[in-house]
Amino acid sequence: MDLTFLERGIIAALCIGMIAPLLGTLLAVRRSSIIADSLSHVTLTGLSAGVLIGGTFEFLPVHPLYTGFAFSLAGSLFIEKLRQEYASFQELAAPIILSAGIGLSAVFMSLAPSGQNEWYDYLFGSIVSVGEGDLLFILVTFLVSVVLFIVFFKELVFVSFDQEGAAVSGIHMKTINFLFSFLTALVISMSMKVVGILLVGALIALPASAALQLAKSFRALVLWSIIIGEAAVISGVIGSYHLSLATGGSIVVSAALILGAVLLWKPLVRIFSRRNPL
Amino acid sequence: MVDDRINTMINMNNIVFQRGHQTILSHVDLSVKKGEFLGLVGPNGSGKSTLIQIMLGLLEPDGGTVSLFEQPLEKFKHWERIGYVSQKAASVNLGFPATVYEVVSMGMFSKVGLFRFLNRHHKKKIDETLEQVGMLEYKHRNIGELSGGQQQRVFIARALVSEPEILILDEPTVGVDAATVQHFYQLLSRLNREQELTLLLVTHDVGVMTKYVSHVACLQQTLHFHGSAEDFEESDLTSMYGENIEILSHQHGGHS
Ligand SMILES: Nc1ncnc2c1ncn2[C@@H]1O[C@H](COP(=O)(O)OP(=O)(O)O)[C@@H](O)[C@H]1O
Ligand SMILES: [Mg+2]
Repeated sequence: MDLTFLERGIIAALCIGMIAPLLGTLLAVRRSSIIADSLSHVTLTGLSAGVLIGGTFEFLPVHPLYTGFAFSLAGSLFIEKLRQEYASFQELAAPIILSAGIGLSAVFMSLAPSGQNEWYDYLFGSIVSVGEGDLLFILVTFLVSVVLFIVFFKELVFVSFDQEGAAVSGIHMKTINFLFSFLTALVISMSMKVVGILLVGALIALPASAALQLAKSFRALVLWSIIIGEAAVISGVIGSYHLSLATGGSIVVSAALILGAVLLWKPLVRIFSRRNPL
Repeated sequence: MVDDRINTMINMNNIVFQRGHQTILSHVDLSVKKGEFLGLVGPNGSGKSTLIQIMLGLLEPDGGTVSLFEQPLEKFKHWERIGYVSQKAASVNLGFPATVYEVVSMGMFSKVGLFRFLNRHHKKKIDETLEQVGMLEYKHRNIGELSGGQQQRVFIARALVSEPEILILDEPTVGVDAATVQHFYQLLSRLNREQELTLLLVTHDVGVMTKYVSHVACLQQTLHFHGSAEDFEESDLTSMYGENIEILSHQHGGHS
């Protein structure tokens, strides 16, 4: 394939605009959105370790996206284990993992020989930096997660809605909880180059929050969050292109603006429909 | 495969459960036979929900064995044969935007299996079940917008939709008004008689229950009574809810 850097970036952004909000709906319903934040910091740790190793030993074929994914997956399994064993995990362990992750990353970064710009791309995203290898990574992880979502959608939804009920209908909880961790790790790693580690949590959470305001059924929730996610990505990319702004930031700002608009719009709709009862 | 001749649906043997140093259940034996309508009663905090969770493999006991449909719990696979409405049903994640239809269709899960979408037959079954509990007209409503009693009926529909052979209900009438409770018991009684559905109903409220059930089990850390509803006497109750608990606790397990 012969794509310009802009085309590669746009394809990557569209993939992420769909999959991050989709994961976000399930995490929101599971009330575990903070897990995405903690994990993204662990991913950064893996990524900076990758950059450090790759920079120090140039003969090693270490790609930061892959080390980031490996850390992310290990971290998500660890978090899932803690979550099952300690009820108060979210308040306690998540912040610890989050800060330990970011602290270690800072240490690795200070040791690594590479320049400021590369870090900036990973932290805040930069679609123009999506190389061919990156795009391949994004496309493969995207396809894998779409297939997993389609095949296990019922289980994922049921487990999010009602753990006990799901267990009693014969769903293998360990498998599904592992799947949740795996998907979260995939989505975070594939988003790194586009919105960046610091912003991926927002792209996962914001469209889902906006969709929660609009949807009356789970089907609608999924559709709305994908529509809102893609709208944020497209308007963010266009806006950043014309105004020469950072893409990752523009995408997340768009998502935040959409959420704000939905929150304002809802009371208006209510007032309006009160005046015109159907 | 599925064996229709099975007579003992649930068998719990010598169950012990502790939380820290507190003994919640001690040496409980409980069995539910095909066709029974068993009322499991006991005051709040007597361990009823704990016992049900152990029965369904949601909690691991510190001692004792459980078998479902004459198979050890660990080996049991036919979860579509069991319908369960948990005590927390009404407080299940209701921030979740799901319609009544979507909630009930989750109950189809154990029947439909992997790689499956609901077909026309499944959808018809969902409608029929909603009709049965009187909630069909609410099919497209958001579950969070319904009253506690209505939500409870939706969860019962979810448990019934896979056509289970036994239905386990943990305090289904909490927060439901008296008239609805009457209707509810009539519905259960009809399911028990007409569709030969075995029922295990957990409640702390003995009042109306005794009129409808065929068997009673009284739990307060251990079983104080387990037998047919006719043999069940007021004295069993007053003693359990009253001061004489210590005296009675010696006659646990005095059933078949
Ligand atoms: N998650 C829990 N943590 C600590 N103690 C609990 C928990 N759940 C129940 N208990 C205790 O276990 C005992 C039995 O509770 P439970 O089985 O819910 O009783 P019941 O359903 O009969 O009201 C009670 O003393 C209760 O306080
Ligand atoms: Mg209880």
